[in-house]
Amino acid sequence: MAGEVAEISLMTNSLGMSETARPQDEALRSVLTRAASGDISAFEYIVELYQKRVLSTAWRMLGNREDARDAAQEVFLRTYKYIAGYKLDRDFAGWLYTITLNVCRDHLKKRGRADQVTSLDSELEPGEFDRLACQTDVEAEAIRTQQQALVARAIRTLTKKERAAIVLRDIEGLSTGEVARILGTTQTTVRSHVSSARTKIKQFRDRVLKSGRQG
Amino acid sequence: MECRRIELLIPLLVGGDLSETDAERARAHIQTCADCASLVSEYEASQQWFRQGEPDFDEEFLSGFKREVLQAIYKSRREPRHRWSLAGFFNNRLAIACSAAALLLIAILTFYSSRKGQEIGLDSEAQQAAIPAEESRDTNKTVDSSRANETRPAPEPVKPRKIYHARTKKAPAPRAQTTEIITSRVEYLKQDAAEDAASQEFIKTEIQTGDPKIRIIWLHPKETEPAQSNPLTEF
Repeated sequence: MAGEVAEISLMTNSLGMSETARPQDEALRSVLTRAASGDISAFEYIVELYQKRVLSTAWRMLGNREDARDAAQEVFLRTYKYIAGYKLDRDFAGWLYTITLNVCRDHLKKRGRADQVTSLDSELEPGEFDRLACQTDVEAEAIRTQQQALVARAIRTLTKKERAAIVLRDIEGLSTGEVARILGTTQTTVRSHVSSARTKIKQFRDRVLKSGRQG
Repeated sequence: MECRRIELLIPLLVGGDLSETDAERARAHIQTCADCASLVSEYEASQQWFRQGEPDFDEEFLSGFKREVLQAIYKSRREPRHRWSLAGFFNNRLAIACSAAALLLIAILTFYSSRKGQEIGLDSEAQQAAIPAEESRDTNKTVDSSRANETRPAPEPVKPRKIYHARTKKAPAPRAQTTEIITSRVEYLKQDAAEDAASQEFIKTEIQTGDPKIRIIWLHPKETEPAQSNPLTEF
């Protein structure tokens, strides 16, 4: 079974996220069928396969690690709950993304941050970005943490829809059509959200760089 | 002018989201325009920066996470299944819809029951009004017969009683007609009771029941003082 999982994992990685709309391979189908019939060990492999992707998406949507962890746990609980009704001809990764985005949306609503979009003009520490550039390798972990914090702040300048679109398109690498299908909207709308999100992120980065130079 | 149009396309160009025609046109312009080429570089750098900020979930974190998920699943399996289904069923919107439907149902039932109550009240009022007239007639007969046995001056001529048709049973008339008939009978009985009271032969007793629509009117003969017995004639 472990070999089977490794094979699936390799296959999933090789396919890449843009291939998620393709019909599932037989091994994955078999695991999904067993999980749907209540086999916990099969579901455990599904968690193993997708946990990193779900956590990453949740982190992008929610902006911090703890919220992402809670949300991802909820995603897998919901998946387990509804997997009996899952149709095998449907793209599983797409289905999982839909659940992930819905859970993240619920989390944002619950915590009253659904519409809390940080302005691009929010305060930035002078030299924040330059510090990242001039650190030594010893402090690589701290640099990464700081960069993650900056990206999280950049994400907060986006609306909920822009966030979902940019995360699926640019981070997860799904095609515009797949993103549109997952979000239940049109490709034109997705392009509009993605374009707007990229512009805002660039503006945020420009401001960070500018404040760094001034500091 | 062309720069402005291309600037709008650049965010989509860097992600490969433009159609082939638009992409070709944008690339052709960028090759000749230094500002737009610089903008493309900035967008690409920004996109790269955004992608690099991905959180790093190490193996320890991931294994801990998986363990938590499985524990939560085991816990949920131990819980009765109906709890999940009920929790799913009674979400907020559905609860509001159910409450609204229940309120509507209660309102409809209250309306119909009150309407029915009015009809019943009207019927019972008519029945109650018919009873005393009947009783008073019977009582009158008793009085007359007892008086007839007494040796006393001829009693006053009894006022001929009207024959009420309240007791006569007829086939049920249509509802509107029945209401009219009942109303006219009630009025008629009220007049008659008033006349009786005026003649002071009967005492009118009214009993108000718990239902304000139902009043029992009872006419009974006024108890007269027993006639002064003449000891001479008694023997």
